[in-house]
Amino acid sequence: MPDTLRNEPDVLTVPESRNFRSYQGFLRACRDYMTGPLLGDMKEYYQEALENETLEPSTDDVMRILDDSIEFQIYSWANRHLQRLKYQDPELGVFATVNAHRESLIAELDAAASDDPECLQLNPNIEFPEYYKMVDFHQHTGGVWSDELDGVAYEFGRRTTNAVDVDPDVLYRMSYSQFPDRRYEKVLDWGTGHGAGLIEWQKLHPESECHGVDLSAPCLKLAHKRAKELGLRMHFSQQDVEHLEYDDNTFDAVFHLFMFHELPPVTLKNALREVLRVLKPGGIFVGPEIGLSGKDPFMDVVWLSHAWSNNEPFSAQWFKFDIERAANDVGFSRVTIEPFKPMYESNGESKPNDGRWRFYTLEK
Amino acid sequence: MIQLTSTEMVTHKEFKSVKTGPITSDQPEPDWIHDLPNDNLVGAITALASEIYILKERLKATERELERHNAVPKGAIEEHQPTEEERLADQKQLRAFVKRIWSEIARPRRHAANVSPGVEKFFKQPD
Repeated sequence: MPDTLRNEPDVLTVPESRNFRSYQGFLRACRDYMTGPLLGDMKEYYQEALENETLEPSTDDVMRILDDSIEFQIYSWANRHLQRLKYQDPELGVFATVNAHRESLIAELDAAASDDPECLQLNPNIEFPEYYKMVDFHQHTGGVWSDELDGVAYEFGRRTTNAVDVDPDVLYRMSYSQFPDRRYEKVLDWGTGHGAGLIEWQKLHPESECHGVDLSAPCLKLAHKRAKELGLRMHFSQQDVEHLEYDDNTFDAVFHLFMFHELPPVTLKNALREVLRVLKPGGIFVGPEIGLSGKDPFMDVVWLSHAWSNNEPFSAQWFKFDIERAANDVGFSRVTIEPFKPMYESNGESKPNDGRWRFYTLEK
Repeated sequence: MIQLTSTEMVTHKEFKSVKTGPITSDQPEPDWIHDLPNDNLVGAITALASEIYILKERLKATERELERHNAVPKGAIEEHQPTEEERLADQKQLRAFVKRIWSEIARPRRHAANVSPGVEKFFKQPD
């Protein structure tokens, strides 16, 4: 949560103890170690194992080498359990900290939701798709939809996903910087979650009428509250991306941030069809997504294993999904797949473009 | 381009830590660490113990300095008696501390977050 929001009286803030900050800071440092030096050690182990090999390693070879690596085993434990400890510690976890202020937080969300029904449309009768109920994505217990404070916990939990010196909203700006330079009168944030991405868009594009959809009511309530806190009039609606409730030809752009890998392949194709319908002629569907590099089998196997252990079971299917074919089948006129340039530029020379971070533009 | 067959995607019994399929809630929580040498574990415990010693040493120095500068009476920390309210709070914190450690050691092999069995039916690619 940005420091600038802390002392604003109307801003929903989760009070946090010194111990909570220390504990979560420690977990973040462990995560930084996992994705930095430990990953480097894994790579070194892998390269040494391959030293005398002349043939290109198969996926199976890479898996067998990594499976015997202590570094990989600890990396995998950390990937699975740092997330658990972040959320679940009985005293200092995100859930415990949020729940300690349960009544007041719910009251704040409800108060904001009740006075502006046009900007927050929830559907208590919505039928959640089965895949959505089956998976607690990113190991968020119960999913981000089953408890009234799941949106708050989801937003609050960003603190151990991002390094302390990194603005958690920088990824949104990176993505928007790669959009075609044109006027966007009406936009849709596809899987808007706690709304931070759409709010960032509105700050950069005050001319846009902003809409965000998500299945999670607790997330949408928080998104609405955050927009109100900043005096922004935005529209959040509880909808399923397979069955959008907007008229045909409504939006100049529909955008997302790393949403493709969270959807089953058949759902994704159906959702593409819906996006096409609600886009204006010439409108675009844009956003970054991660894929396998095809150039670095080591990182590809690490990433696949990471996805399974972090409860992202549709990642492996996304990696096999033929988006150009699916987009053409449903009627998009053009599909462009480029490197997600700002991501590589921000990494500097230490992390060269390995082809995993891509930016997809689908044109109607 | 790396290619995984459908069999590889869901079968992960042959590997120890590499995962090639969803960790569904009908399976126990996996073991991830199989080959950690005891020497490494002892090294980590020693590093942690050294940090505790450093903290103890600084705390002792702090207590002495406080006494020397009359910030607390001599022997006050050793003879400190909590109030009844403080004693109850201390006991509560101690119980929570012990529970935190022992619940991790005795943690049941349940998943903290679930993936339901049968999720593979959504893995099908579109026609």
